[in-house]
Amino acid sequence: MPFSSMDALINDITSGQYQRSDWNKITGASAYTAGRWYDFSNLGGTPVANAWAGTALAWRTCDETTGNGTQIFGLPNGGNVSPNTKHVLNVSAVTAVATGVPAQLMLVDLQGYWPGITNNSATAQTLTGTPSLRYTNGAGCRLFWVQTSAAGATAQNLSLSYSNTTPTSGRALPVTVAMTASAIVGHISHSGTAANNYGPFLPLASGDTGVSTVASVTFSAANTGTGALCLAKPLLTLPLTTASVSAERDLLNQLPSLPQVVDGACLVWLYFAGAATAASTNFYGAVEFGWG
Amino acid sequence: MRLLGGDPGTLRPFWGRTDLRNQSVGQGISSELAGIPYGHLAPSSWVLPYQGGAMSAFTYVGATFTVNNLNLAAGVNLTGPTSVTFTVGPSQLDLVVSAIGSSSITFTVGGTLAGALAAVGASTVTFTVGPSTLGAIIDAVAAAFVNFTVTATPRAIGNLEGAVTPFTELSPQSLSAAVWSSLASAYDEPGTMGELLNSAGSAADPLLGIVEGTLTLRDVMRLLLAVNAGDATGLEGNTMIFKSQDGTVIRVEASYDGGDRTITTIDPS
Repeated sequence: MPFSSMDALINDITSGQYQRSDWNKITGASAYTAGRWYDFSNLGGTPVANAWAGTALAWRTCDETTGNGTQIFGLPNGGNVSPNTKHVLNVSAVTAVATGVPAQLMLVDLQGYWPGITNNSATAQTLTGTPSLRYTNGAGCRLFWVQTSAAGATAQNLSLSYSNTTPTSGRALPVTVAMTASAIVGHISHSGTAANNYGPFLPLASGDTGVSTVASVTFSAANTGTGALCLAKPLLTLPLTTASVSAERDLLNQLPSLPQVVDGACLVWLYFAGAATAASTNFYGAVEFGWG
Repeated sequence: MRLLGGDPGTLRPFWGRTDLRNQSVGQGISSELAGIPYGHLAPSSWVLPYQGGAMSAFTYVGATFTVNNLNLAAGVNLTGPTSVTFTVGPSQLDLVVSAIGSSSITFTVGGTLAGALAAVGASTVTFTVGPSTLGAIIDAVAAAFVNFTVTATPRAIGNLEGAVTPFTELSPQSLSAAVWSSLASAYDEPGTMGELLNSAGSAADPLLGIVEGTLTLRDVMRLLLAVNAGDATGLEGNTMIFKSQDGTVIRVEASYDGGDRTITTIDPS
């Protein structure tokens, strides 16, 4: 049951049904390019970096307590609370690096990923495994590609065959999606400011509202590099406007109010670089959870 | 200090901002009736709900005690319209004038209830009590059902009212059985009602009246019957024996010598 009132919320969080999780991440040795989205889960800090464990092309489920089975890289959020429901109360982040702003952070619940998909192929790569999702038939879940080893310089477009929430298989991306040549590790490499770039999520076919699974991935041309196709449910966004001033979202009184965090959620940050972000830029923040 | 939109939330202009109403829009608080405080409308509401209709009662909704070593002393009134549950360890209720619950009151205690003037429950009052003391209870009333499961020492009880089953030592049935089955000889102290009833028993039965010495009328009749109509032996000798009608008891035994008769034994039993 959700909170019935402010009284109930206060009673619950003062009774210990509350957790604050502080996090910090530092970008790698490469600068980020303005207008592109990046995955923060692979960065060092707290929680630990996601090293994309798993077997190539095989689905790997991620959750709060076991991460990907090797690295527990999701933000701790209080464990399973059912039949209560858990919600984000407040969220904040700050960077002291001038080029770290303006930017936007997006908190997502990473359901899992297919690792080890090579860019060096121009034929369909069949993905295996049936995702076990925390949202029925992947309602609201979206796809994004994270470069796990740097891509080569060859231009390539991405297409795939996925199932929507019906679930109907064989759904295709509705537009041409261009990958970024020479994308660095962590880049959601179909995002950017170039033609046919989309981010942070891959566009869905007309009428689709989520993805339940993906059957295959195909590149238009062979390139070098490797990536992971991720499936995640977006929860909230947090704009960073000013260096050294904490950005905060009061998610009780501001919309969307009290986004729900389901049991087992593997919470990771995605980052939109509003400006060219210098290498080794630090970000700090906290997320407060309450349940009742 | 909370921040709202980058400015201190402690500033008066930020109180009652309409964005506070967003708490009821989203996944967390989905009720449009939720305001601050809950159930309040103008002029007492801090933040109005989207829709009126919520009700709240913060004083008399109920009370739940889950405590150890609880002492309620000189409490004037305990009232709960829904339920009051006491789950307490060794505890004490002193001088409680009234404890009222419209639906149920449950005591699960190992403690002392002393000086409680009234404990009233409209439907169910259940006492599940460990070694405890109920002292000076003036009145305990339950409209429907009272169940005592106790190992306790009740004392100084003025009034206990209620339908109690099964029958116990204090029930009318048990008491009447005890009276009618009591031994008359055990209640024959001079000046007591027992003696009076015992005396009345003799007056009511003339056969028990003393005729001579210690012989009752019944004794005399048995002896005479034996002499006049009972089997006898030795009538022409020196020793005569007269028996009861069934011949098992020697009622009278006498000796005869030279015109003199001497009674040696009588047995009127």
